[in-house]
Amino acid sequence: MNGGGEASGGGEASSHRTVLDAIHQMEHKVLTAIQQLEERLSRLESSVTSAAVSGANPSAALSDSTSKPPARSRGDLVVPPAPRPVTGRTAGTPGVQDGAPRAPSAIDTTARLMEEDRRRAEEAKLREEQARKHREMEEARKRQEQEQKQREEEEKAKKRALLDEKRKALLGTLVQDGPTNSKPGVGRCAPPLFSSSVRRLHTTPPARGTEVYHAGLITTEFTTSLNISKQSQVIPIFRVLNYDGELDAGWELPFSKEEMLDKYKFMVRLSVWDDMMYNIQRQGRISFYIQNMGEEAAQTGSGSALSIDDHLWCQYRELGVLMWRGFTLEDALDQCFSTKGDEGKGRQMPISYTKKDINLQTISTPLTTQVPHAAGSGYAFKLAGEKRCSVAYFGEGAASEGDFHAALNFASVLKSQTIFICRNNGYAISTPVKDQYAGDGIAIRGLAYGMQTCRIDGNDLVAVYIATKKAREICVNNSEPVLLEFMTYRMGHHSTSDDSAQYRPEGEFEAWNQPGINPIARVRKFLVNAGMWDADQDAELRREAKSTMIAEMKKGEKKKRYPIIPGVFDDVYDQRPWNLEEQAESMQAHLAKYPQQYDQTQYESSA
Amino acid sequence: MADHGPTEKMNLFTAVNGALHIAMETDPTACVFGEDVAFGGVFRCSIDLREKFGPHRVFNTPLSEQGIAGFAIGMAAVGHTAIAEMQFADYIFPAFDQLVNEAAKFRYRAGGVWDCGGLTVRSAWGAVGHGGHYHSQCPEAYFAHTPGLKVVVPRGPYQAKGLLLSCIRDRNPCVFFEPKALYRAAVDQVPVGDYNLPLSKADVVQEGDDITCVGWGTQVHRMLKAAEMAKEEGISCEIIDLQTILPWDVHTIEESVKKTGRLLVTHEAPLTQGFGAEIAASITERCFFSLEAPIKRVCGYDVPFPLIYEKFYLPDEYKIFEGIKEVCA
Ligand SMILES: Cc1ncc(C[n+]2csc(CCOP(=O)(O)OP(=O)(O)O)c2C)c(N)n1
Ligand SMILES: [Mg+2]
Repeated sequence: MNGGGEASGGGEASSHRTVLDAIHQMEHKVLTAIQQLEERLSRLESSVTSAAVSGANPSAALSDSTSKPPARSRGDLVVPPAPRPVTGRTAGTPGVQDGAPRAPSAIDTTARLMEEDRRRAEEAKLREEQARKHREMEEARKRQEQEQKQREEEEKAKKRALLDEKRKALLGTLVQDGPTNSKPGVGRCAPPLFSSSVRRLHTTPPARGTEVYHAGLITTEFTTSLNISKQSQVIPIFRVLNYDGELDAGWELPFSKEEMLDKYKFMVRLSVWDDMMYNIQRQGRISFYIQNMGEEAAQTGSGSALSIDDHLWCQYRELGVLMWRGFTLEDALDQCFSTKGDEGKGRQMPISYTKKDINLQTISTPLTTQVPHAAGSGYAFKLAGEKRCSVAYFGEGAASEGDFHAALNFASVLKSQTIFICRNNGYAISTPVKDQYAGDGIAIRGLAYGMQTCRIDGNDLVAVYIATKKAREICVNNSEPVLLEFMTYRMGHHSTSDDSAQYRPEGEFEAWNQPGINPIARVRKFLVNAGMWDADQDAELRREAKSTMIAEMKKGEKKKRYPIIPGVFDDVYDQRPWNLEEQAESMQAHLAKYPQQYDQTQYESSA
Repeated sequence: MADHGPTEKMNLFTAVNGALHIAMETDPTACVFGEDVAFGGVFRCSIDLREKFGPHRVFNTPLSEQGIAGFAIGMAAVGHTAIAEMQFADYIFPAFDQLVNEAAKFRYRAGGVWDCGGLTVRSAWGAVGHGGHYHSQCPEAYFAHTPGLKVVVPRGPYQAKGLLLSCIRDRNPCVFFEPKALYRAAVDQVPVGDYNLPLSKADVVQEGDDITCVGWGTQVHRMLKAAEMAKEEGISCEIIDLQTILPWDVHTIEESVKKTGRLLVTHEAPLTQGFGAEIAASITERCFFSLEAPIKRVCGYDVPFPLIYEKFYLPDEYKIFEGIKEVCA
């Protein structure tokens, strides 16, 4: 691992070699210093862990640990925490603050945790020292470089840049390669995923100059030009299927043409059913509905790129995502009609879908609350070593809530297996995006949180699919979160309680409904171009979708509701406490006394 | 009803809208803002305000209740009048920290030198027939547990306008809950001009001799219906609208209970830890020797608000009527 710089520097001028030699010397010193620190560390460890552990050969560990990078310690990390209160059967375990060796038999889980804490704190302290040593070495190196610079007038800037590169690469190897937790018997073998997160924290400090090292920055760079600015990099919109329904040069369909046709049919059915649901609300047959019109490609493309093992944390305008993974029209109608077929037992408003066996977590109307859940569950998947992720869907309006920011930051810092999908559809009820944020969309926030990020044409089925597929790969394989921003347009009202004519500028809908821009029509263009589809087939598909819906509605409307008791009182807790028992009884008595006042015919009887 | 000049037929949302117009006219520092406020609000309470007072004083905020509350407190802290809307009381919880830890303690923690008295938070509140878990809640008890806040719930258009203007002008942070079921349903002759109704003052809506019934907001109407039924059974009910939940008017209720000897309290929110518990405890302390029966609470069950079970969940007039008979038996 020491050879990298040398090998590639072999053909350079001898002056370079001098510098490289100096660097190697320096490196040697650094490594020796680290070795000494490691020795201290391991002595410390053996004093606080069991006799068996203290018997382990410390030098065996040392040879591995020399490559450990300096820790990016922050002040608050180096204070050793007070030992946790010991409870239960461990109460008699003596504290280990004095560092004296203890009998191995006395160490059980709780005590080990305590020691882990202590050890980590000590380790952090030592690492900080290591880091300081590193910095000193870097300073020394810098001085040498400057001497060198005086001797070598020619091309000094160019060469130094070159050497800098190599040195960084070298230190990079030191950082990346170090097996951090390979000591036998110490009981600190973290799962592999842990070590990857540890490694990230140990990112090489920028090894430039004599300046202090700013632990909270990705790059430490100084400038003498004052520049207060709100400029950010342009985040382009990834699009591969153009407005003529043609794939842009360099791109092929990521699936077969037949699959493209399947997805098209799916989107058409979705849009037909969505429209009919809206209409049955208008007729008063359901109490509320939220349309998906305009976002069919974003839903279908992303939904079909996920795995059914992935958990969905939706907002409410994602029916296509659910349906792709097996949420049926019957399921949707059961929920909207509040029949006993609704797993949520009719307790929530229409569109608040839930279904366990397709890993759909319950839709909850308080906005953005599900987004941190997705960060947490994605972290749990990582800990369990599972090849699945959590997916949070939310609108650009919801992204203004504090929960959004907390979720992204948590997921990014803790490396959750979570995909955050923002549907940027131009509106939050009546509020246009210009009243929602002044920055460059939502994607820019992903970058700010150090997260893999992509902005996509949400009306391009193919681009959405490709990007989501890739995002999932990154998320699950690298164990890190990804933010996707789908640029799309809410073509319907916010909900059936809204009239968008009150605030939607004239012509806007029409612009988004042009055949190349409308997400369904764009795919139809592709299929027609490919000779796979025509107007008759299209009309037939729509007819079929309608009649399916009519049949399902008839079925759904006949179904009864979940019984009143236990419907009202179950599931508040896993078991009913006394107050709910009493209240259930009192309600039953009341309903019996006033049968005329409470229509119970729609409900299944509790017997 | 005191004379406040010429009146007009108004429902609850037009009365609120009228109050906001007057507040904006009479106070150049006043601003009205919240989610979807600019186009008139999802309940039409802020209609025409932007046209009249401009986009700097009437504006949409980004979608963040925490942000709305914090921003409003900041404006109020430097002497402005901030009238902030939380679209639904169910969505006020992201703002809970700002209201409970900041607004409520703003004056106390500064020894009285700073305050955010110009803050009023309005929010649509209560059951509406099809709201389910998150468009139905009555969270007044959470806020009533917070010294420093004022919490107000009007029962109709006349009260809404007068109480809202009082809240806006009161030198303490106020949370004003508007029963959304009544936005259109309740209609009064409401004074067109400016008037205030006193905060922390309960209103005796109907006098009676046998039992005192206390409620607020939508429950007042249910109590009145129950009182009609009770009347046929020969029971005379005194109906009191508490109006201000915090700081509440114990004296009016105490006086009434000393007269009737019986008390029933009713609210939509769940029974356990509801504000009814506070009233029952205080009245027991003050009127123990006048009470002829245990105090009765007729409230929501201790469950989340359930969509298709709403009519069974609600403490409606029949349940109140049963409660009245039980206490008077
Ligand atoms: C915490 C919270 N505040 C307010 C609301 C009311 N509300 C429901 S949807 C919505 C707009 C959401 O817009 P966006 O996130 O862009 O999603 P879209 O409706 O455009 O899909 C608002 C304000 C809510 N449900 N929850
Ligand atoms: Mg939106």
